[in-house]
Amino acid sequence: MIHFLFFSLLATSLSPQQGIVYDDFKTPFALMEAPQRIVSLAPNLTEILFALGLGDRVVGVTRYCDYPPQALQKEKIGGMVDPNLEMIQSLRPDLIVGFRGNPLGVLNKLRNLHFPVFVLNLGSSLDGLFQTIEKVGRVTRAEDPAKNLVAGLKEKHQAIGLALRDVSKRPKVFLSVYGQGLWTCGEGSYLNDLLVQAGGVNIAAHIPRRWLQLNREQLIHENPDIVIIMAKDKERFSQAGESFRADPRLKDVRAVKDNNIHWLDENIAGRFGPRLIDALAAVAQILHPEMFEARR
Amino acid sequence: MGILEVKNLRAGYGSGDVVRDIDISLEKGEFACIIGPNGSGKSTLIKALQGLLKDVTGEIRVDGEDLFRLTRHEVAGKIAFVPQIADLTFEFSVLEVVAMGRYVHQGRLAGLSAADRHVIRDVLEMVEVSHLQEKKVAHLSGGERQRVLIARALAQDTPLLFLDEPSSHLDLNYGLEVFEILERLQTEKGKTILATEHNINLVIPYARKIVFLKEGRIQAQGGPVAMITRENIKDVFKADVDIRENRHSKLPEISLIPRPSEKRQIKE
Amino acid sequence: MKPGRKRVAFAIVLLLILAVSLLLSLMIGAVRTSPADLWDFFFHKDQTYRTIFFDLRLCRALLAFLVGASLALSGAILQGYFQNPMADPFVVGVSSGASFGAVLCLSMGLGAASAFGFSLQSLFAFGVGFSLVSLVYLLSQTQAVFKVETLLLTGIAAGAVASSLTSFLLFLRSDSFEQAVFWLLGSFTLADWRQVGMVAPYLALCLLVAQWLAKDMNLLVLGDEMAQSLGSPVARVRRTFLAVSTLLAAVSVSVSGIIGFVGLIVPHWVRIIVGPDHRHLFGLSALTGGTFLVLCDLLARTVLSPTELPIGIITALFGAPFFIYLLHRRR
Repeated sequence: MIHFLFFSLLATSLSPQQGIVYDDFKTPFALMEAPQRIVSLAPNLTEILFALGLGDRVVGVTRYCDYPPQALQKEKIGGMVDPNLEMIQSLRPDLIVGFRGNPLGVLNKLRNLHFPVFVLNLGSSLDGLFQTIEKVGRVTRAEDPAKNLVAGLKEKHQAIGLALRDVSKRPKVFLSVYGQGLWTCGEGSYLNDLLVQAGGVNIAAHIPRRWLQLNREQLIHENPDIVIIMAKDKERFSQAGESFRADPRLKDVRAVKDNNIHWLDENIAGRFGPRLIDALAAVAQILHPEMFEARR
Repeated sequence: MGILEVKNLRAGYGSGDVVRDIDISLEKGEFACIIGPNGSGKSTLIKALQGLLKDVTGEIRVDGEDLFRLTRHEVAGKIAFVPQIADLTFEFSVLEVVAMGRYVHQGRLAGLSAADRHVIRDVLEMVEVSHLQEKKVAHLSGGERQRVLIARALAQDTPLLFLDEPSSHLDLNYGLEVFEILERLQTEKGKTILATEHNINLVIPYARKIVFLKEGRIQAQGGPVAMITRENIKDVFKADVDIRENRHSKLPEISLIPRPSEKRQIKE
Repeated sequence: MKPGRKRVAFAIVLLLILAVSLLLSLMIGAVRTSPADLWDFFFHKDQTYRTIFFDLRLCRALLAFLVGASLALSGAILQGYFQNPMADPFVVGVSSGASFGAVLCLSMGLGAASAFGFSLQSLFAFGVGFSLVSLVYLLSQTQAVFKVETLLLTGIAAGAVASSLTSFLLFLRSDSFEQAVFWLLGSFTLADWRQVGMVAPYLALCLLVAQWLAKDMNLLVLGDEMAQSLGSPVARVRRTFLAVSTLLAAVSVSVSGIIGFVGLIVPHWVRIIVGPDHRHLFGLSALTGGTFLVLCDLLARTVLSPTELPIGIITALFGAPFFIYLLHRRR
C-alpha cells in the first residue's frame, strides 16, 4: 500500500512519455531512461537480457545463470531464493529484474532500499513467453530489439507449426520434469502448451494443477506412447530412464515396452526464456521424427 | 472471639464436597491438630481454611475479618503455610527460599533490608538450618527440607501458622523434632498453630486441641486427654487400640491391637 | 565470588562480547569493506557505504539482538511458568500458529501486501500465533482445577494441528512453497528499521512487566498454592506471564521467521552462572540471548558467503547438543 502511494505520487511528477507500468505482480513501476546497471535475479531473465543485446549492461546475475557463457563472467549476487542484499546494493543497480520464485520479502526489501524492481511471472504458454520478452524490453527501453527477438522466435515457432501441419496422430506423452517421483506438468503450465504445440497429447493435461506428481496407477492407465525426461545432462537422464525400465510394474506401459524414452535438456526447457523455442523444436522432433525427415 | 473462627464451611474441587459442616474455633496461641485417616479431607480442609480453594462456601474469620474479602497479600500477612511436599525444579538455595517468606513485607523491586536479614537469621537459627543456608534446597534430605520450609513460613512473620502433615516423609526422630520446634514457636513466640497429622501418638504431647476428621466431617474435637478414647479412635480409624499411659510423659498413648490369626507365628 | 559480584562480572563480560559482535557485524559482509571505510563512515560521514553499514548491517545486527533477547526472555518466562526447564517459546503453539498464519497469508496471494506499514504476512503470523495460544489457554481453563500440564498438552496438540494445516496449505498451493520455506527457516536478511522499531518497544515493555513480577515467578517454584499463600495473586500472575511470553515469541516469529533453541538454551546458560532467581534471570537472559543471536547471525552470513545460511541451522547446531546434555544431566 505504501508502495502504491509512493509510486502514485511519483507518477504525477513524471513526464507523460515515461509513465507507469505494472509488473506481473501488480506492483507499479515507473519507466525511466534506458537503465545502465541491471541486476537479474533469475537465469531465464539473464538469457532474455543477453538476447536483447543488453549483456554489457548486466552487472549482476545469480549463481545459476550459465547461459550465454558470458553471463558466467558477471558478478554473482547469490541464488534465486537467497539473493544477497549487500552484494546487490554494492553493484548500485538502476534496475533489478526479478522472477516468480524470488522471495517476495526480498523484493520488497529491495524496493524499500529505493531500487527500481520489476518482477515477472511464469507464463502459461509460449505466447506468454513473447509477452514476457516484450515486458523486459519495455522496462529496459529495448523495445525494438524485443520486437525483433519476438518476431524471430515467432518465425521459428510458425515453421515448426508448418512442419507439423499434416500430423495425423498425436502421441500420448508423459513429461517427467524432475527426473524422479513422476513429477509432471498439468493444465495451465507452459510445458503443457509446449507439448501440445509440438503435436503431442500431455497425459496430465486434464489435471488442473501446473505441477503435480502422478501416481503409478494413473501412468499405467494413461499408457503413454512416449516418455520424455527433463534432465540437466545425459548421465542423469539415463539414470532416470533406467528407473522406468527397471520397474516391473511399468513393463506394459507402451513407451517402456518400445523403449521410447527421450531426453530433453532441462536448461533449455526448464527456463522461461528464448531457448524455449529450441525446446519446442526438440520435442517436435522426438514426437514426429518422420515430419522432419520428410522435409530434409 | 478466637483468632480463627470457622462456621459451616464446606469445600471441594467442583465435583461434590470433600469436607462439610466444619465449625472450628482457635484461641490465640493455641496449638491444634486435625487428625484423620488418609482420604478424610485433612489437606483439603487446611487449604480451604486459608482460602486456597475456589469451591468453598461458609464463613472464615481471621482476627475478626472475613477471609474471603482479603487479598492474597493481606492473607499472607496473617497466615503462613507449610505444605506437605515441595519439589523444587530450579536450584534455589536455602537462603533464597527462606527469603521468599519476606516478599510479602517488601516492595516489588526491593531487595533484602537489614530488618529482613535479621529475621531470616533468627528463623534459620530457630529451626537449626543456619549451616545449610548456601546449600541448594533440591539437594537436602527430607527432614532438612521440611525445616527449611518451616523457616520460610516463619520468615513470613504471621500470627497463624498452618502445616499439612509436617511429619510425613520424615524419619521417626525428625517428626519429633518438628513438633518440638512447633511447641517452642507456640510457647515462646505465641503463634497459633494448626497442623494436620495422621500419627496420633506424635501429637498427643504437644496439641492443646484435637479435631477428629472422618469422611469430611468433624467427628469430635476437644483437649487431647478427653479426645483420645478407644471409642473415638475405633470410630475414626476403624481400628481397635489399647490406650495406656506413657511411662515418661504420663500422657495417654495408643497401641494397635492386631486381629487374631492362627497362621501367624511369633518368632523370638 | 559473591553472587552479586558474579552477576556484575557476567553482565560486563556480556556487554563486551556484544560490543565486539556488533563491531564485527558492521565490518564483515558479502561486500568487502575495510575498517577504514567504517571509520570514515562514522567519523567523516562518508556516504559511500552508508546503505551497507547502516541500513543493511547495523539494522540487521540490532534486529538480531532484539529478537534474540525476546526469544530468550520468552523462554526464561515459560520455563518458570511451566516449572519445566525444557519449555521454550514454542511449546504452547506460538511458532506453529505463526507459521500457519504466514503460510495462510501467502496462499491467499497476499504475500506482498502490507498494512499499517507492516507486511501482511508478519501481521498474520503474529495474529494467528497469538490467537492460537489464547485458544489453548481458554481450552485448558475449562476444568475446575487449572493444571499446567493441561495447558502444555493442549498447546502441543494445537501446535500439531496448526502444523498439519500448514503442510496442507503448502501441499495445495505448491507455488507458495518457495516463499514459505524462506520464512519457515528463519532469517534476518529482510531486516529493516521499521521492524527494529516494532520489536524494541514490545521487548522493553515485556521486560518491565517481567521484572515487576519476577518475585512472583520465584514463588511459583514452591507450587501454585504456596505462591498464593505467600501473597502472590497466582492466577493473574500466570495470565500476565503467558501473555507476555506469547507476545514476545509471536513478535519475534513475525519479523524473522522461526528460530529455534535460543529460548530453550539461553536461560539455562544464565541459570548455571547466576542462579535461578528470576529477578536477575530475566534481564540477563535477554542480554545473553541478544548477544548470542548477533553472533549466530554473523556466522550465518559469513560461513558460506555470499550465500547465507538460515540462522536456525546455526542456533540448532549450538542448541541441540546442549539440549541432549541437559536431558542426560537430568537423568
